[in-house]
Amino acid sequence: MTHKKTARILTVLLIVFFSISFGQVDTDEIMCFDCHSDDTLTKVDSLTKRTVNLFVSPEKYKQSIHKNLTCTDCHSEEFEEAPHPEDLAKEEISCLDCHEDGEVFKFETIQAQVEKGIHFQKLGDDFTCFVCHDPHNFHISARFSDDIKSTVQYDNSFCMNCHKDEEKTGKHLNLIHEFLPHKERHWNAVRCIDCHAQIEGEIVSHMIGAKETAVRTCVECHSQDSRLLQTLYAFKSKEERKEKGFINGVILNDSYVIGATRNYFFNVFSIILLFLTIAGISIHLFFRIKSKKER
Amino acid sequence: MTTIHKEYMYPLWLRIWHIVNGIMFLFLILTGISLQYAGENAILVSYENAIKIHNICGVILALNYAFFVIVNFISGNFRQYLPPIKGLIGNSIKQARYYLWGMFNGEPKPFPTSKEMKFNPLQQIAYFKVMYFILPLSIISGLGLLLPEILIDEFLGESGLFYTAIVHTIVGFFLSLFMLGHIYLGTTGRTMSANFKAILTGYEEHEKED
Repeated sequence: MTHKKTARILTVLLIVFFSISFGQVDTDEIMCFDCHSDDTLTKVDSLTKRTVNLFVSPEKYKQSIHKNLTCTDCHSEEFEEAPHPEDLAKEEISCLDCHEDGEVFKFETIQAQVEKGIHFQKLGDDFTCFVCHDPHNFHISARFSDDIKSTVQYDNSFCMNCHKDEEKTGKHLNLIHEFLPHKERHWNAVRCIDCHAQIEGEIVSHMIGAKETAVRTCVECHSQDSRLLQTLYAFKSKEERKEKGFINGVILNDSYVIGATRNYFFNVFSIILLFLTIAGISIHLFFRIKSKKER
Repeated sequence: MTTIHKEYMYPLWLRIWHIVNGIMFLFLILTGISLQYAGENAILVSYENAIKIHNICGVILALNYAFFVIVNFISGNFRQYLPPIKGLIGNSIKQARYYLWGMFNGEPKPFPTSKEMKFNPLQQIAYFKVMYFILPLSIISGLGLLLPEILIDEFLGESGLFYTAIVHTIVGFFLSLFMLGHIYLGTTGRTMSANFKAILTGYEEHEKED
């Protein structure tokens, strides 16, 4: 292990240690919020000449996964000077500085997946993590939340930030999803990535392919081996699936998925009943024919 | 000497309703199985086609049932489905005994079909339940699945859609079993095909001693 890596790990451990020791960072004490909690705060980026929103919601920050960090844990300490020095506009932050692949994080794997995806192919290096994920209010939902509907809503909001805007994408989501029966229900029940990302490993897939590679075959989800078990429901306990005899019972949390929601006991019971009915009819028919011949 | 006497028992409206109902039932069962056991290798019909066919047939069956309810009531045919309470148990036992014993020994039907009494007591009980409770339940739950926005979002911790789908699947299964039994009992007429001919032409043939 290089000294640089050791130093990074120690820094992360120290941050975690102090965060645990002293609890959540009090946003009221972060002086950055003196300005950045103003939702009208913007600037014109000197490089791109675009207006950039500089607002950070203290409430959302308090609930984010990074709530235990102070601003300068990620941003340069020079930002403590206000107004900020001009050259800080070029500051580049990479999630990989803290989140290299290890026991907990798999960001290098994620980065590799992103680079195979359609967004990276179209936008190149401009497609950073921050295009979709705002680290100031990001929280992990699929892995920890039992509320699938909220997870779906939250995760889809990343995509919708760009894709609901017809001018940006040039395509109307309603039109291109016209093939989907009850599309609103689908959108509320599954995440965009459940159909648009290719499954690879156990992490939430970030390999979002071109629209041609998206799932269009109903039985990929509507079947006993539903792909939803590897995507949206991947982090639910496997034990939960066995409760009440429901095969894929984990899906029952919020939904009934035709073809995927099945019950072992119902299956067995129905086969027995069907067999008894056919057997009863066959025996009856046999005796009818036999008695008619004898008469 | 035995002669065959024809009696007009099933009016045109009833025959049209029955044949449409039967065909829709068949399609709904086949596509219903395809949906319930959907997978990469479609067992009967592909998922995409099964959904479309099931929806279309379900709507036709529902409209056909509405037609049945109206004409059935106006024509007074609904009385055929009402088993008389008096002697119900005794008559049912008599009929069951015929199915399980008398039929094999050439005994005459205890309740021969006539214009006034088209169904025997067991048929009356079964058809009364199926036509006035089970089939409407299947139609209402199917309508809920077709238009899920009309369903309640949550009840006792589960979605309304879940309960509706479970009811629809169970009811659909029992109606499938009923159809098997119904078709089989159709072969127990004067000849194997006599009852099928009767429900297509409207005329039932009775044997009469001259």
